[in-house]
Amino acid sequence: MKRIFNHPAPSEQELANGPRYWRSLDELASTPGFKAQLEREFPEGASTLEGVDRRGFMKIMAASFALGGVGLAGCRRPEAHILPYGKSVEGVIPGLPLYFASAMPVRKGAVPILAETHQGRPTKIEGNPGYSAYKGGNNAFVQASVLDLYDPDRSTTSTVDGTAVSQAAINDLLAGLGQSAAANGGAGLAILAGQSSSPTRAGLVAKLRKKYPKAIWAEYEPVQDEVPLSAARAAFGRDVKPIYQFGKARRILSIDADFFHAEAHSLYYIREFTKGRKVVKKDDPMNRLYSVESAFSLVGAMADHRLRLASSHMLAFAAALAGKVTGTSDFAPLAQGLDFKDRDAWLDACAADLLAHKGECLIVAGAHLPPPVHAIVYALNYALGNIGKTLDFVALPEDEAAPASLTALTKAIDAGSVETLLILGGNPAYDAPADLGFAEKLGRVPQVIRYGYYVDETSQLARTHIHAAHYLESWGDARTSDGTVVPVQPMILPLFNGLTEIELLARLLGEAESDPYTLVYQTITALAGAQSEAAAQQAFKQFLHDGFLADSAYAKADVRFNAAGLAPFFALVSAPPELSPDNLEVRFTFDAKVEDGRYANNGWLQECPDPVTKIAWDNAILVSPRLGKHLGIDPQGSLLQVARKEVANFKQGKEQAFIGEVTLNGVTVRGPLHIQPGLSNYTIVLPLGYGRRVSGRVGKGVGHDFYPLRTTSGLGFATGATLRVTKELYALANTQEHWSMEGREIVREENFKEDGTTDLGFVNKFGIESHAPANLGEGNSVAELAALPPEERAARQAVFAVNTPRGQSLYEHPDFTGTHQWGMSIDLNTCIGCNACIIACQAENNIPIVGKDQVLRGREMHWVRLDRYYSDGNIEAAAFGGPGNKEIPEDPQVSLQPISCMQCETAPCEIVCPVNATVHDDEGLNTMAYNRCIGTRYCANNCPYKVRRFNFFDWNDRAIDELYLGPLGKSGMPELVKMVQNPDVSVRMRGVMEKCTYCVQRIQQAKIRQKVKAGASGAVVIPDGDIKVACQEVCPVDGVAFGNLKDPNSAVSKAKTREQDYALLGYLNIRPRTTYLGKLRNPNPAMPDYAAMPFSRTEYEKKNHPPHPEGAHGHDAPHGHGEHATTMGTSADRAATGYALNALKTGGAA
Amino acid sequence: MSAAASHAASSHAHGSVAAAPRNAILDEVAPAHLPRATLVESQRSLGWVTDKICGIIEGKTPRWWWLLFIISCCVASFTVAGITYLVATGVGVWGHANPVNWAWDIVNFVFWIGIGHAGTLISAILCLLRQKWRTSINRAAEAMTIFAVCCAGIFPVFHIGRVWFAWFLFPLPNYNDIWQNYRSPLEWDVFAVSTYGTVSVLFWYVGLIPDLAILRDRFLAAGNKLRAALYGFFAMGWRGSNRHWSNYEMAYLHAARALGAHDRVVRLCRVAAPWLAHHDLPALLRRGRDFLRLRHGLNADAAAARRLRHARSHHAVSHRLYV
Repeated sequence: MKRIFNHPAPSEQELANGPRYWRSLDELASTPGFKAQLEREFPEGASTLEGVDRRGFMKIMAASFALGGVGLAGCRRPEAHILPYGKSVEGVIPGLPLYFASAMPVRKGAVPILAETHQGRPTKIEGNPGYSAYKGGNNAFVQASVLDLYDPDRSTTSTVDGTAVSQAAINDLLAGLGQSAAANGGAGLAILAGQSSSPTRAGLVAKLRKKYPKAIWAEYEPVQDEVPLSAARAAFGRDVKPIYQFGKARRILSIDADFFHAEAHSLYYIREFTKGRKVVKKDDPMNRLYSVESAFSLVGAMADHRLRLASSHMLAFAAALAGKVTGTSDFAPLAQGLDFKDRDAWLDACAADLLAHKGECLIVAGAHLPPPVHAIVYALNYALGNIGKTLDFVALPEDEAAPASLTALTKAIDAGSVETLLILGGNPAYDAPADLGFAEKLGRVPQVIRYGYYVDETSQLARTHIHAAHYLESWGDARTSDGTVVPVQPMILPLFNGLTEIELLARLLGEAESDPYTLVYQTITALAGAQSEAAAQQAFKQFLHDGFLADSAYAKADVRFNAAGLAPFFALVSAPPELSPDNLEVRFTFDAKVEDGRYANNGWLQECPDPVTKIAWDNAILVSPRLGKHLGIDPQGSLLQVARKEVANFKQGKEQAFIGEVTLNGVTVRGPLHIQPGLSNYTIVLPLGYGRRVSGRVGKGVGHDFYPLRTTSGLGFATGATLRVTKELYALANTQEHWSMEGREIVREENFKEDGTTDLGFVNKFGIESHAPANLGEGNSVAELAALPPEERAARQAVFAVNTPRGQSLYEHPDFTGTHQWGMSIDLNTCIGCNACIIACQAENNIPIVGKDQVLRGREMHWVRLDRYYSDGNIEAAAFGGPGNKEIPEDPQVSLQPISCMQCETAPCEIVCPVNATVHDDEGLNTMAYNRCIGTRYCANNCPYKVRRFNFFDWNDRAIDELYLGPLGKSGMPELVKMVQNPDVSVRMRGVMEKCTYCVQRIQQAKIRQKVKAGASGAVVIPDGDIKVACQEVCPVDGVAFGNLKDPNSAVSKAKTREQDYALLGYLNIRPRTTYLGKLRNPNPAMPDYAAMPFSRTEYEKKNHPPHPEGAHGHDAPHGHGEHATTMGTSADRAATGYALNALKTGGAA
Repeated sequence: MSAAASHAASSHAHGSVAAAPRNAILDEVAPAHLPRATLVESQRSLGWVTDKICGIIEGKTPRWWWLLFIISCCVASFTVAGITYLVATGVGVWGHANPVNWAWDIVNFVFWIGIGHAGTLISAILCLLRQKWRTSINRAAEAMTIFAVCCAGIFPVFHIGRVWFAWFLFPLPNYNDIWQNYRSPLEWDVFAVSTYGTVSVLFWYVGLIPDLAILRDRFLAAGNKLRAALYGFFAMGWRGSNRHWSNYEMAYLHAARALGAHDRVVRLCRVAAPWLAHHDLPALLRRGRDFLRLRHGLNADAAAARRLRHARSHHAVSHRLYV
């Protein structure tokens, strides 16, 4: 934790001037000291040091930075805790990072974090492992948030009418507002804020409402990520919030719920859900996920059964299922108009499966769905006995009076009763529902004051803009979605002296104490129930140290289901509309990259491809294959096409998308059309958050804005839209041109069998390796190794980690002599494809962004790439012309696979480097000597995984829109961006190859730590778990194991001795140190869309073992394919598996 | 070995033609014996030929030559401008990407090496086959080879990301004691191209020596001492003695053979690499060693030999040609 130091009391002079640094030359120039310094012959500090305290010295330092045109002092710790290093601060070792517990507030929740700081400069965010719900897992947004702190485009000063004003002027303004509000009870004052879970803010808001009873306090968030309370109020008669316990559920039905991404508390849900997917032994239980959705989310990608259904039909679906589950006809009227393929069979089998797991199943519905759907889902969960078991409810604090809605605020503006509108955060001028016309109405408010982090669309419409502090420079507090109170600690003094929200509110209230630290201290110590000041200090210290307040989660609520309460809801429900190309459903989702638009200026997120569409730097109108065909935009195929018809028209690797125009209620928006397999036929998906008109250099004008279609009556989805295709083409930066595995064994999948007969060794019984000679020497072929008992395999593995058997290679391979032998195992069965590892790697390893133009050219730099494959089992043996190859699949299965450098033991890249710039170390790392690299790119050519990344331009030193200007463009990294770089990793210049090296900087630091610890004892072996590489640390599902292969008891060794372990392209005899654990699917044999094999496996069998009519190549013949037969399962289901493929049921629903 | 014999050998290498019995029709039609064409007609003396050729150098350079030279320089300046932009901006201007990390650079390299090989073929191989008419074109062909090698060399040098560190490719002693990776085919490309360049220059230069001596003598006679001294320096004291001619012929033939042999190596590298890289990675990794084994007649790994079959057939054909 951060230590509290005894600071010298500030001098009178300091108190008068305020302990502020100069932020600009203007500010500096107005001080007499500056003018005096200008006339000095010698630099600042030459004589002034005498008799000047440290702060004075720091001021002069700041002045010299300002004079140098830098504008920023380098190392800036939060002022309340700063001490000169001359006194040797305890715990600070220059060069080593410090970690402080904090939290990233997100709407009504927060993610507890540990911020890594280097000399007072936060560079990387880790999850706080002490918070047991997330256990340190977090997501791409958390990882990328540190970049926002150093965004050169962030608002750096408060302005009135575009003129910069001092902080003092803003304080005066707020105090004046408070005084006039106090005089008239707040009449004419309206405040529109974003959601927040901060108890301190809640307290201030309560005070504000009390003090200014006539003022309007409204809250608005474009994203609805929590289930509407009205459903719970109807079903249980009280305001309770559901907390899903996926870890206890063996059957899960998701009704349009993207609980991996779009729902609050998703990090907990991801973690708990994947707990049920960790199948280590064949009799381990595995959960089963049914997903009904209109868009294609990662939940759908993970689902064992996925039903495509329009969002407007979800209510009917839930009602139909409720009818089957409860056996009553109460819900029958609501289920009218529901139609999809095999409807009754689907519902019967699903209901039977759920009923067979009463109290062990869970049904969740997406937060964007209307309250009646949630009410039915509550009824279903009640009927299935899940409440209190897999579905908990928590009571929200009583004192939280509901804020006014944006609609109510707009009405007040219309009525002319709003004189002063204070907008705290958010960006309503951009993302408010279109029917409110909020942006135009802002013009009617006499005084609009905007408090925001960026100068954006809303700031432009406000006369006064107050610049905000980033959460990493603020004192604050928050609650996670389960109510645990977490601190928001500043890691650095506000770079531009921004204001925090609670300080602003305190000043508005005219509070005596407006220092956010004190406010938070008071709130927390009150919440902790500290009796004495000493206890309070101790409690607060503990709170900051742990990063959360123990036992502060919302209390579990005992709820009683009341079926009668639902009736008024259902009276309002109308039958679902019939959808067609002329009556399309529009589904609004929040982009995986920029969310609701708030991360639009974050380059890391912009460049991180959407996990499903793989489009970076853009959003697109997603249409189903059937609608695409109807519109005539489906690709016609090309010579380069291997076997399958692609999902997009690619020309020279660039997706050429037609621009489409969507019209809904007379409003038209434009955007590129992208065919997305797996969408409901007549649902078009519009990801929001793009097309920002006022943003920074990164986010401005990127993508297309679909908010104009979104109205208060259709925030999640709407029907009645039409789509017109124009002839215009638009290039989309799609990072994965090819989507089919073409029957190759890249991601290896198998169906889980609940009777305990699953053959977990399936991974090594297909693929080329199963036929390949023993690369590791006689008796060590893949098949032979797979047949060994686990202990024996572990023993051999430890031997192979150190000795590098020559096998049949011509080369002798040097043995690895290091103390450790590093290796990694990635569990494909739990990987949900959330992209967190990509951004974590980017933050840890100083990976630059390259911009849309360069991504279009295939030059993205991510060291981790997430491959997404579609398969539908219909690939034909003949590559071209098979009937199954001529259609884009409508119901594909998705397989995801993260790939980074595999650290091959016999690395092909090393052999071809002419200058020895990439070489192996004795611990099995395939290292890069950046200073030696001359950039021949031969290594990248020879890498079979294509994981090497080349600096084609000076990404770090040049602006992404000036790459081709060469020396004529501006050079040099902005000062702010320099601060985000990890000082332990070199920033690569142009012409250098780079790639993953298992976070070698973390390994080295751990080795040094261990050596220091070991001293003379010589125990230099790092204990297992001591090193966490960046992708492993962030992974919310613990899907990455990393460690020492020499130690047979390490987590990674154990993972690698699991039967599912396989090497990607292992037959190349390059012996990758990263291996994968095969993926399992758990379909229900009773379902109409049951397939006996995963589709990718079907494609593999079809391609490699096409059925022979005469049985000339029959599998009973002893010709070496014998082992395949065993993988096909028992003879009973053989008929449905390998060679009677026409018996495969691959039907789907629309 | 005569040209005819080498033809027969090469036919044999291809398999069937030499072994087949002579076709009876040949005896029947009795093809006429065609006399070799006269290379210098009208019974010109050697002196006349010398005057004719030296006249080009001794005379005034015509205006049209300067005009064309300036145009050529203008065209060639594109190279300078392009390379300047490339080095100043980054290899990204070439449009490469992952996984296509090499594109026009390797194509252009092979193109120019191909041009160079044409010059080598015309000059060295016709020399080895004792085709005397080659003397009318060999100088131009050899010059073409040298310039083509220069052009070819541009691409591997400037394709690298940090061209100012290109010297890392050469085994220069250095403080860090880092050496090159001799398993890298690219390193061998460096040696191959530099050897090819060196041998081409040597071949060109050795052939030039008697002509340089003639020019020396003529300028000396004309009283132009500076040019005579310069030509004299490069003529290396050539006096046209029997011993000189004997050494000269041996040196010239060796240079021709070296060039021909080298040609083969480069061709093998170029032909084999893409095929192997695309189809079989381990074989690519083993290529260096297998290749050495084949050349030294060792019994290489059977699988590797199979993979190199394609390459070895080249080897066999050309080997017989040169003996």
